[in-house]
Amino acid sequence: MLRESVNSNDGSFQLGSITEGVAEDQDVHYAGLLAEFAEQVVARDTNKVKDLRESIIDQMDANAFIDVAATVAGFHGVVRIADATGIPVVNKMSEDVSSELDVDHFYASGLGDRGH
Amino acid sequence: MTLIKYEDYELSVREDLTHAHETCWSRLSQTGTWLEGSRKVHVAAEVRNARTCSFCAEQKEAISPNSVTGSHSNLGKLSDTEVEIIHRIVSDPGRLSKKWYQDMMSMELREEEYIEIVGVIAMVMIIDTFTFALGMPDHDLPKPESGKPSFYRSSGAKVNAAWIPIVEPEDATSSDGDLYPNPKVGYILRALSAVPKTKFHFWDLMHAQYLPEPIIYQFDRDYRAITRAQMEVVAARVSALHQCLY
Repeated sequence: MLRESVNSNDGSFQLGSITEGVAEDQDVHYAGLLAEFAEQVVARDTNKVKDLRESIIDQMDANAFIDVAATVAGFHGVVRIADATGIPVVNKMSEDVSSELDVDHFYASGLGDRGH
Repeated sequence: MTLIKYEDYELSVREDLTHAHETCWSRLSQTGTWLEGSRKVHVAAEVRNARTCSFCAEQKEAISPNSVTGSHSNLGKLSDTEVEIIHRIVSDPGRLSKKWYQDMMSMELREEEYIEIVGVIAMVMIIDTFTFALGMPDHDLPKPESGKPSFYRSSGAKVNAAWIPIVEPEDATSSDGDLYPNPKVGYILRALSAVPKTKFHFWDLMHAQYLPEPIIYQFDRDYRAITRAQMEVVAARVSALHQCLY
């Protein structure tokens, strides 16, 4: 799915910032705020999530917040499916995305056992 | 009695999302393809228990999860193998390996059971993460229903591209149901296909969380209250934090 995201914005989003934290000077409105919310949900930081929830509702709106929360939650499931089943990532675009994200420095990638 | 309630929440939750959560919880209580309802609910409870497991925290901090010895704190309802599967997938999914999977499969657990357990873990994590993001407590777990599993495995399921058996589109049969209604079939869509009901149930939920399947590939269309690009920033950040390329 991440590889599909490259298509969603004409490839103009700097994928490298996904691994390092997303800055606001991107083409995507509220990218930094949304990414920060995602990070704090992953970290299960109740206080920071509460503050960011209020910021998203104030700056975007309540319906937008629900869809942000739904997306964050959904991908908590997707990553479990992908990681627990060892499905491969095997096409040209995936390799490009992988390279830009520099995922080769991740511990798991060194295991060499991702099904291919 | 429904255990999924959003009507008292301060914000309005989409009707289709609420319905998907209600359906998911109802299915969680029911006998599955390989797991009885009680076992599925025990898996769900162990998913929640894993959040506070000190051994999981130690493993997560270690340079390798295998460098730490100890045992998971658990609720005592499942086998040690099932507990290990649940806790690792919940707490440290980015460092799972094929060897770890093979070790699990050597412990008297069938591939089909593993697939159904993975599906339950993922669905429970989705709903629990959603309520956490909203600032709500966890929903109560459903009371398990009785029944006999069907023990169905797709005849087309093979171990080839992934650790687990999957059904390639050309190997799907009519008894599997409509496994692949869309001609674009990324591996994430094939991942649970050996146990078709688990695949269907996971994606019924995921399409409400994210996007309906036909919309996923329509990149010029904003279907939700946030733009497609905003959705992808959020999705990609969650994936990257879990060291997952998907």
